Amino acid sequence: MRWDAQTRAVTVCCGLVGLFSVYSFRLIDLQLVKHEEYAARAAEKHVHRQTIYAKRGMVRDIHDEVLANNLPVETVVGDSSLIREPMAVAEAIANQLEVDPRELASKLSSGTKYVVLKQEVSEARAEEIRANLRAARLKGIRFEPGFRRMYPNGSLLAQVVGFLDHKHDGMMGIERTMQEFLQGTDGFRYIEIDRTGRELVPYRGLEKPAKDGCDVTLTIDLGLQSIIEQELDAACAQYRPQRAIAIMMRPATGEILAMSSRPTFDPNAPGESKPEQQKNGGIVDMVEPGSTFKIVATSAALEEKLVTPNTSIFCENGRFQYAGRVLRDAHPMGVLTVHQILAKSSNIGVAKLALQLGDDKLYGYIRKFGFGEKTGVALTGEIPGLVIPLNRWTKLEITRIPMGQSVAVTPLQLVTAMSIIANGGKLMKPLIVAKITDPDGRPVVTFAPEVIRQVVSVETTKKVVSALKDVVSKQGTAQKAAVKGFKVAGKTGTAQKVDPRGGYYQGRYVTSFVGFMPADDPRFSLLVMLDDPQTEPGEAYGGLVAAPIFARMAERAANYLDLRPTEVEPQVAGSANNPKKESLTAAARD
Amino acid sequence: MNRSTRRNVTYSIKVASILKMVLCTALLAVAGLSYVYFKNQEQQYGNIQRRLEAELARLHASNEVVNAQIASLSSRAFLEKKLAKDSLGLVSIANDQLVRLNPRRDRDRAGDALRPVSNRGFTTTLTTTFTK
Repeated sequence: MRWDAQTRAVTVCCGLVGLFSVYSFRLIDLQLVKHEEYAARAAEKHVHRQTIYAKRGMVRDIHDEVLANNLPVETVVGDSSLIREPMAVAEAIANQLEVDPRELASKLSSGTKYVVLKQEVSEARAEEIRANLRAARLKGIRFEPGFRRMYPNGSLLAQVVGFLDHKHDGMMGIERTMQEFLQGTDGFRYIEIDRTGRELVPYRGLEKPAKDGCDVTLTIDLGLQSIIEQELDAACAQYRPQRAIAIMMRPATGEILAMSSRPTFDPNAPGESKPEQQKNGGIVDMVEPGSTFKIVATSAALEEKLVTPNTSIFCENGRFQYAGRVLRDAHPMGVLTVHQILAKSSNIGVAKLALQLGDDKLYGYIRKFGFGEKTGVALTGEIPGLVIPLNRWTKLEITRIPMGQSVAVTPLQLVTAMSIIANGGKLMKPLIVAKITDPDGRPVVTFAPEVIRQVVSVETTKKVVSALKDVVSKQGTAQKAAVKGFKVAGKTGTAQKVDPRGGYYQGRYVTSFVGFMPADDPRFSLLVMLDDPQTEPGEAYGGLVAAPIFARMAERAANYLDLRPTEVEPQVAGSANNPKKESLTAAARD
Repeated sequence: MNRSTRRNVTYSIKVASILKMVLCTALLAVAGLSYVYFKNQEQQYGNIQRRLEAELARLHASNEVVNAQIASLSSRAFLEKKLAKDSLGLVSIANDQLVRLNPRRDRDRAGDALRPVSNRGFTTTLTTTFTK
């Protein structure tokens, strides 16, 4: 072959074609065949999924007073792969983080890309650190936004509002039950970063904005809550009970206006409290209600038209033998009307009413009043109480249960039951959440009052209210529950404390008063319950311990709510503001 | 003969073609440089956007901090503690000193007529009237 010019040109061309073909094949290999593999490798190195954190919603009272909100804080994170001088970085930030620089430097030298240096650093501190790093031209420290849940009112309403765990999930109370609405949904954004860790904004990828949590508005009125808690604290200081509980409800709607129990805790530092302090006694404690339960059998007997308020019943002069056991009244009473049985709180009288009703009907009314089942309030840990099933009743139950023994109820069930009498016979579902609004203030869910059932007729409730008004009179057991200018209706309760080992403790009582005001147009019903108050011997009665506390709370609540007085003359001589003890007849205690 | 013929051949320069090539090259260069310029601009705006976003986030955070402080300082619990601690001399009004302004019933007829007041507790309509 001649190696002439043409041959040389063809050879060079072929060489070039071959060379470029190799390049082309490699390019095709890289760009098409292995595209997915290399794209994934590149993305792994440079593309990050950045979380956009959603803001947790706030909890407010009915007048928009803040009960729970968020304080922005930051988590300081180090990327040791970007840090050349760990000691210099450590010294620049150690003061603000209040950490030993050597300890910090060792963390920053670990070689890991994600080292948490400190959590919950305040915004001001974080800004100082940023300024220090900028001034010293140091890299490798980044800040992740977060929040700390704040409860500006401290222990006020603590057991209702609840608190969060370390993952910012609701642990109890409203924080837990409304978790789904409060937490919001985190968003994300795919970003590319350069070698120094800075975002390359033009290469931002898919982005989904965060959806902030909704705000929850409670039915609680913090003004009333404050009154209730102050009086409860005063009562605890005076009587040193094991537990003290107060619940205020609007009878017409079932809205809970105030709810508190003692002991309590500060949700800003939940770790410093005991479980006993954190539980909401209003829904997780059950007690034998004592005489407050007499409204059930009395209402039932009146509703069934077995008796009228004026029907006379012989109360056996305080000693009634039934089913081999003796039932006693605190003080011997002869013939009483049904009205008087309630006003004077006769155990024998109410037992005889129950006997007229029979087991089936009594049990039916107990359940209709809502006992033995959860009320359905939007709070965690509610228990149903304890009503012995009808098939396990002995002969004694029909005389014990009507006076509030052999039955266990929660304080919320008790105040809900009293609200039935106050509102014309309707069992209302207790409401604690009024509405849920989105971050722009638009309502998402509004909770309307819900009538569960009509328990007794309006006529029956009027008859019972008339008797309950007499309870708070000179003839009744709770004249210390009277409030100047207003008619109060209510019922005292003094139950012997149940011994978990069986039987009852001697000389230890659960004293309570549950009532409503004004009696003829109730604006609120209120329960006050003190478990094992320390009193002088013979004074641990609902009428002497719980009734005056009720009166003080009710009087301040009436002022707060600007209720117009309904009575021209004071209901009784004594008043809540007059602490002077009046000599009560023994019969007028409970 | 051949040599003299070769000498006399003249090669004309095709200016138009050269200009076309120069123009194309220039256009390509301008396009390339513009691409680079705009890429740089994009990068710079991206950096500005990042800084502004960070600034906005900081402002939002400071706003929330201030909101949290306001909520804390205006909370009922804090104010009650402050009141008790600083002994501001405020005394709660006794019940018998409260005077209630009754809501007017003849709202439509009487303009700014003085309304009867009542001492809360015992009477709902006293005949006493307020005068300034």
